[in-house]
Amino acid sequence: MLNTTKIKSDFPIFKNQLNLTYLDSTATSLKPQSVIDKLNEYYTQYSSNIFRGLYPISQKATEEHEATREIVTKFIGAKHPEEVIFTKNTSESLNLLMYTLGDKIVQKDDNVIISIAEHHSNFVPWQMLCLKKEAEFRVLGINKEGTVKLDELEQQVDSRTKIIALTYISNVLGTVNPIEKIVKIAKKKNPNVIIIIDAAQAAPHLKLEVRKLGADFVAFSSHKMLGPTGVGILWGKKELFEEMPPFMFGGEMIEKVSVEKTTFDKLPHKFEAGTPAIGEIIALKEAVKYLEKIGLKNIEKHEKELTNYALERLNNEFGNDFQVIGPNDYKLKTGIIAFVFKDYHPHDIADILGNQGICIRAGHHCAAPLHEKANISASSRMSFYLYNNQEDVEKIINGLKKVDQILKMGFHERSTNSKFKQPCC
Amino acid sequence: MDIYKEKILEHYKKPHNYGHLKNPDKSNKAINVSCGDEIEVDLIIKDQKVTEVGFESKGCIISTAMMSMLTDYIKDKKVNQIMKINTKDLQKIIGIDVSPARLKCLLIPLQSIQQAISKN
Ligand SMILES: Cc1ncc(COP(=O)(O)O)c(C=O)c1O
Repeated sequence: MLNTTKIKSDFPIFKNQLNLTYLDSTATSLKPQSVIDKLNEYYTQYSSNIFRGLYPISQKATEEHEATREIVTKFIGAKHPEEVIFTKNTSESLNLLMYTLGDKIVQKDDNVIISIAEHHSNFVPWQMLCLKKEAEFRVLGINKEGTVKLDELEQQVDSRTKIIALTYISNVLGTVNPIEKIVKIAKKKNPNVIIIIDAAQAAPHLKLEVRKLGADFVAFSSHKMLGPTGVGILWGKKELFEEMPPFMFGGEMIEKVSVEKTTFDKLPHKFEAGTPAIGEIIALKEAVKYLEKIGLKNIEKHEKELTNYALERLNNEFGNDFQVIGPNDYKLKTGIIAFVFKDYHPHDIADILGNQGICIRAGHHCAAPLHEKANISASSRMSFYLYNNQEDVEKIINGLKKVDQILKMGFHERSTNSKFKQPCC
Repeated sequence: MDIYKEKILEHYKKPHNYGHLKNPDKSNKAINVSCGDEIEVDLIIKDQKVTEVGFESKGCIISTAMMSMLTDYIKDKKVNQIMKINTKDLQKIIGIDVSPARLKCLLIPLQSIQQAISKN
């Protein structure tokens, strides 16, 4: 296990919120001091726009901005920095692909394949595209290990499949899709299919190797991997980016503009119209450095061990009152545990835990289709990152006991023969 | 927000007016897709007044307690008065400040009733 006392001391929020038990890193992670300092450094020492100023502080800002691109390139195992595009978040990265590439290559009677476990960011854009183009929207199921059914994938990919967009790690189930295998199966059936990976939950928690995966595009967010909000990353193959039309028009992305005609800048600027989140992008490199200092392998191992401990403790303590959504086996999971506790409403659970300083997520976690499939309207979710430890697990166990004390003997339990049944999964 | 408040928990655990009515004049089912709450409500209306109300629901503490208190509140009130109830009134009836994220937990109970009244 990691030395979480040391790690926690790097995150100033723990000094300011003394009683904080943060179990919602899947929504967004906390930020280490080094990231905050870097953000401050930009605003206090060389705050200026990039690429345009011919004066020293602008050159410094441009250098710092581009240094992040280089560091991110290495971090994800990519080859060319110009293949790394900065966006606003994962959602924008995926929408960029839908509006530029999707709109161009998907036509009537083609199909796009996704899975039932997608986050709405990787679900709705493709659904909308298919509606607009009268293309078929194919939704893969998941098996009992909580990953995409490979036999279904093989059946569904055909010569009219233009795009396959799948998540690497499910933000509800915490399960890891075998992307390399998926790419092999899909490309064997249709070598031209474009494969897009939503790595929002993967980049922060495991060693991302975009070229090894074999996919064509990979999207993720800075704010879930210790970096600032307002920055997303889209990696893609250069030759594909070059064929795509720009996403937005405006400053920074043009080569030449005249009344008759405009030509566009080269990669990556073609996809980066307007002034970006300069300070945030600059500070992202400190997040990457922090993750690399601890080591993604160590982080992955830490989360697995903690998930193992948590599942064991929760199952022991609450038995059948605590139902995990998806596999209840730490070997199949990263540090994400979505659950139903008795028949208590997730919002009540989160509220009562919140009053004790314990932060969890309640709702459908932007994965409504998955919840509908599991026949539940909402769930609660705790998630772990490098700063969490066994003490946090004990705190949520005590917190859940308190929830039970407050809510038990409610009419919910007395009305189980009413037609409003208890949720199940 | 003081979700632990005795009065609210009491209503949550033993909601008033719980159960369907026989031969209601108006019935309605309201659903909040985002959190999965469901409320079914029955009304008996005489001379433009709600004389009896019953409901069954699945929901959180707030929406259940709110529905329990609101069904007490609307009894013997004129329908046009009930149609005028707003969020501020709901806060007063339930007696707590509800966080913005949970305002909708107060609103579905009201919507379920107002929609029932508006039905032909
Ligand atoms: C799997 C997955 N995809 C996409 C997103 C969307 O990320 P963002 O809100 O940064 O656009 C999230 C965030 O919750 C996620 O967990």
